[in-house]
Amino acid sequence: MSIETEYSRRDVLRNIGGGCGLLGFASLTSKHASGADRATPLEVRPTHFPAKAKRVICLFMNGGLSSVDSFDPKPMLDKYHGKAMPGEYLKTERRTGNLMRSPFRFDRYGQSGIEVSEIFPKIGECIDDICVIRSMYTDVPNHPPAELMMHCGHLQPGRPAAGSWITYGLGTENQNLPGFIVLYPSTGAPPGGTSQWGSAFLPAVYQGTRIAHNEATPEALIKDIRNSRLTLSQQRRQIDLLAKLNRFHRDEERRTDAQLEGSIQSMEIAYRMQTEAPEVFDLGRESPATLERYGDGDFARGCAMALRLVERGVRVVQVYFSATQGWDSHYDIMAHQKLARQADPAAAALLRDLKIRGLLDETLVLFSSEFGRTPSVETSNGPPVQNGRDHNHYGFSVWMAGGGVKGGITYGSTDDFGFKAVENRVHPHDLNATILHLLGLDHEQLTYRYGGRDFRLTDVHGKVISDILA
Amino acid sequence: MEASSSVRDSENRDDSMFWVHKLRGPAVAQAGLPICSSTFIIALTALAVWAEPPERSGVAFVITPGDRAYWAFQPSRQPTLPEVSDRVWPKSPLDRFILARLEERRISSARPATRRELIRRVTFDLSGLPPTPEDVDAFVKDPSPLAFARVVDRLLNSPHYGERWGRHWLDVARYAEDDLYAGAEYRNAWRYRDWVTGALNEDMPYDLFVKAQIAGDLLASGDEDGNGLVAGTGFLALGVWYYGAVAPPQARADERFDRIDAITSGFLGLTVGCARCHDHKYDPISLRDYYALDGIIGSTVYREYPLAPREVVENYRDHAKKVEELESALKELVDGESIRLSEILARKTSRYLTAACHLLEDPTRSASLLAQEEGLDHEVLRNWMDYVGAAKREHPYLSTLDHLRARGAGRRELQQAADEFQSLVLDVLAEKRSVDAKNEALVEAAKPDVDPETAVYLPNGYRAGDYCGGCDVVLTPIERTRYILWLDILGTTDLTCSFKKKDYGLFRLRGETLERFLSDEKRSSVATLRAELKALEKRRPPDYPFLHGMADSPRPQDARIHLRGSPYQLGEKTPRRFLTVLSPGEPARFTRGSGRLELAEAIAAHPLTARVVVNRIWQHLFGQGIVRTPSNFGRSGDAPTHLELLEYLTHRFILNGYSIKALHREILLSATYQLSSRDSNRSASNRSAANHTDPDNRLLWRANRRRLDAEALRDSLLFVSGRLDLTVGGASVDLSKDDRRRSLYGQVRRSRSDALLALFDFPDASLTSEKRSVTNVPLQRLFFLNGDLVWRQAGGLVRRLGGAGKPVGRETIQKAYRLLFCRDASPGEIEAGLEFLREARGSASSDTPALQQYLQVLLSSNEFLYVD
Repeated sequence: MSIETEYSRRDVLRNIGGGCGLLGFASLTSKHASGADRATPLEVRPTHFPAKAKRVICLFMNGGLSSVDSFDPKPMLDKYHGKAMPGEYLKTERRTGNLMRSPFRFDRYGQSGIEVSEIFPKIGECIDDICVIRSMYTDVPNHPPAELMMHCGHLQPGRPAAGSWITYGLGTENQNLPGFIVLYPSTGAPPGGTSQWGSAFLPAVYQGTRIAHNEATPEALIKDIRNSRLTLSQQRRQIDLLAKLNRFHRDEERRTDAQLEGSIQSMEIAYRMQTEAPEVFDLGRESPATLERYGDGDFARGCAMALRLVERGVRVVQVYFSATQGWDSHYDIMAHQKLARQADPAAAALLRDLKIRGLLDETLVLFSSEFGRTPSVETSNGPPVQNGRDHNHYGFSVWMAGGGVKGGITYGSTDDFGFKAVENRVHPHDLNATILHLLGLDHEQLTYRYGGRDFRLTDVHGKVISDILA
Repeated sequence: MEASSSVRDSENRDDSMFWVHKLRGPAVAQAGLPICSSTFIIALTALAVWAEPPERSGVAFVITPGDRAYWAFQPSRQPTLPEVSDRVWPKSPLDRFILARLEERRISSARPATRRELIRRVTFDLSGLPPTPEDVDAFVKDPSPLAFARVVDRLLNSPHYGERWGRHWLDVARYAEDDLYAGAEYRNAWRYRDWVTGALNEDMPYDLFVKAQIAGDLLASGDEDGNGLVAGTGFLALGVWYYGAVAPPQARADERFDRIDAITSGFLGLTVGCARCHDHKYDPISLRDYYALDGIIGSTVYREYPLAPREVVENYRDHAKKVEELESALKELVDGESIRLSEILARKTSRYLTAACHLLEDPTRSASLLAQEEGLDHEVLRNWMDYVGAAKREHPYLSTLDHLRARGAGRRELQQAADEFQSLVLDVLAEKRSVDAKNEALVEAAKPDVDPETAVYLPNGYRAGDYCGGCDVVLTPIERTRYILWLDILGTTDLTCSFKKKDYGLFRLRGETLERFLSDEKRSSVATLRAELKALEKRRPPDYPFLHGMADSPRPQDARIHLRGSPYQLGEKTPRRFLTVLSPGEPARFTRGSGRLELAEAIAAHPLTARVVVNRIWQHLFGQGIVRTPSNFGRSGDAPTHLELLEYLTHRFILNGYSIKALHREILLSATYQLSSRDSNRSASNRSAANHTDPDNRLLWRANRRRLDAEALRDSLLFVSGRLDLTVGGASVDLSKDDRRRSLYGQVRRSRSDALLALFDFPDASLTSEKRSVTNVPLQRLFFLNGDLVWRQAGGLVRRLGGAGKPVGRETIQKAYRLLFCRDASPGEIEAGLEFLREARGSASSDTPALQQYLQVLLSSNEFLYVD
């Protein structure tokens, strides 16, 4: 890697003047320029076209949220309860048997009258801001590849996360905080490994910064964020000396090296970051009344932190619901009720606060899961209780709100029983293409050359769901 | 594959051939279209008019004379040395290739690096460590024209050379020590890492290095592996294994893809993996070529090679088996007793329940006294009290009793409700037992019948065919609330995401509580078994060492083409053979076993393989390769900046018996390597001219300044503080807990990347990496500013400089500069240092804390982090 590439390119422009022809030349020569040789790789970069959303929050219900118990009511399940599903048997991970009705009531909410399960009443109250996509499908019914597909657009590890692609494409607004933050409790690890927020072949600057939001202290939240030995004034003295020595070093014969100057700049940013970051994660600065609306538990803390992060210009925030596959209700769907008691108030409070603070219009909120659950009852393996549902990759629901998405609508549908997406089917590639689109990025243009190929988040797939764009 | 079915008539066929042709041309290669999908073929919008994209048509694939004439596929040749006008500057013939281009473009090169710059550069390049002040002095003072050659030889002969260059190879080899999906460790993976460093230290001829990694097991004769070449097959064995994470055919196909991708991009610099779903878009590599290799890898199986005599291995396995048997006997005894007891206690449910009610009603009564009176266990009774008194339960069966208690009902009524509850518990117990028996039989019968002979074994004892995803049986269920009742009273822990019971049931006793109930005889049996187990554990023989390697499958077979890359849509068989375009004429079918050795030989002998490694070596010495896409020498890669130079070096490399060290010497002794990275000391106009004409320094008119990579950075910090343990080789350590070992010896996990390494651009271990990215972010600065590691090394440095407790003066600063930067401090730097120390000390009595702060600044400086 030539560390002078970026400098030189800009230098050429500056010294020769910036006529159109020359700009054309510059972009031609930068065809293979990677993010790594950008002097300030996280600075805000222009979008491909005007963006609706500036930031994304992804609330991830890991384990597999059942759609027929949450956002995709299926009266036919009541009628066929205990009977075999008509039509072909759909193979999922485990054996499933007869259809099983939802134990939960569905109510109509808002002006739009969209039906939501009784276990999500508070999200129901926000439904007029929400677009429910009821026709998701993915490739396999197993957690690790399905989570990787959702987050990185590929079934195996080794591809950059969507958040990495987004910060690679757009940079980030607040240079004092990482651009892509992942809230994942320290009590577990994701099934697809840290690849789920890794930058793979993209420069490491675009990897997600994992914050264990179950931890109480800033030190545990961000490594090296605080210095326990020196006071700020002692540090200031160090940084001043460092800047002086670095300037001695960057003498006449090293002057053209942009990387050296970048290093000097980023020390200043780091100095500021250590004062800003602990404040951001300090939920004690929100009023008790606010926090009460989010409820208790890691996910509630995560949602409250997500709000504070996007307020400060962090580009992408992911909040994982739990450290393990929380929503994986194989044996007893009633477990969804307990889980929803945590998820519902927190997600709803986040939407409400974003709206009150005027951020929802430009913040895209995605509430998703790696796959759904079967409308039929699981009959094999584990304890001999048959009140749960298996993984279902044929059809499931996610919802989006804010950031240029129409509210109070549903998109697509599953079959009569909620098993398989049939109308306006949406693959994670389509979802990712849409997210990029809302952020002003063309998923076909956002490429990175590695190992002789131009890679994309959406591989060779992906179609923007234009019907849901506001 | 009925390939021609996609081509409806001759007109279309011509079009599709034309299309393939066009696509391989440079015009499209520049267009930057995404070209490879692992799961589906590309569907270019421009081609939507065709019903079937042409790549499904194997017939359309032809290799043209133009394809064969591509520079990278040519035999090695000896290029003529170019004429240059400056006869003084070149130190080595290779310099003339560089100089000729510079003269042509009228660019004058930078001045030579100073000796101090040079020794720091070459020491990092060859060992990943900084030079000591003694090394620097010796070189600076050595008047001999051979001084630099001597430094190079010293470094090449140091064992740290293999550590540094081994790591470069491990990037390409996507070296990792665990599996993502099973979370399983490969506990002997480090032996492959040590084999790589050893091979480089011994200067193993590169062609043998290649062959060993593809077919080291087949190079060994019989059981004897005198050369230790089997270890090389760790290259294949340590790739990803997907176990049962996805359906077996897909998992196995993905595993083979990983190997094919690593072999072809790693050794040949060709992206053969792109031909998994369709003929390669740019390079003359067909779908058939891919599946020819797929058959070879598919005929190869994972195998562990013990590195201990048979008796040792058998002894270890026997012992492990004994421990296992004893453990299961103990568990059976204890569990059996616990279950038997729970069933007996179940018949006392009513008595515990009523006693609990009485105690809750009258808190003044003593629980232990009542327990004694009623013949109950006091601990169990206390648990029942909690259970009865709980505000909420997940079954309705105690609601009658709750009501009765709420209205203060009499004993008789309570007794009756308790009796009813007891019969329910006994009923659930009976149901559970019968359902379990039925279900166990069903599952047992449904388990896949894996023939141990043909089974596919993966690391950690996993058998690929065992995966059955719940075995597809329909089990007999128990009603949910009855199951919860069972869990509450009689069950064990249940940690499914559905129920999450962390405690055992009220009557399912463990540990001391259980032992209180056991007969003397049973208690002593348990004690005996425990003692035996403990004694056995004490005698546990050490785990025998083994290699993770590969072997030929007993039944090698050709692969069938996967249509669109899908393992569920199989086309016709493809013979196992080498890539067509790299073979003279039609490639011959491989016939020996899997064909792996033949493949290894073909790859090792091809000049492309030599070109690729020569370029990788150049890349690590100059920061950029002659071909800047080092794992892609195909048409979509970058063209060489100095083709003739690459040819010259390749020719020399082969002539020198594939000696990497000889190649190093040749390059390092050149004037080009020894250029300064600093802007020319000639006129300013000249400097800006070079910057304008060749801002990327493609023509190498100066050296490239490079940031230390993650390993060199951490190692240097530990080295200068005197902490670094220079032991070569051995098992891996957790770098977050270790600050002695070189970074090379840190665990490399697919499941969890090391935070420090990842922060400084260590590559993702799940895929082959051709070069490191270099990023510059504030989080890296926080590592210097606040991290423990840097602070501690600053402390070590205080001691090393002899500064602890003593006043600090110019001399300490000078010593620090020599140690860290291989040079003297300037007067300005000394002044700045002294001023800082004065202010930082303030009124403190000791200089030491101020000095540590000062040294932390030096360790955080650009001069420490970058190599000129």
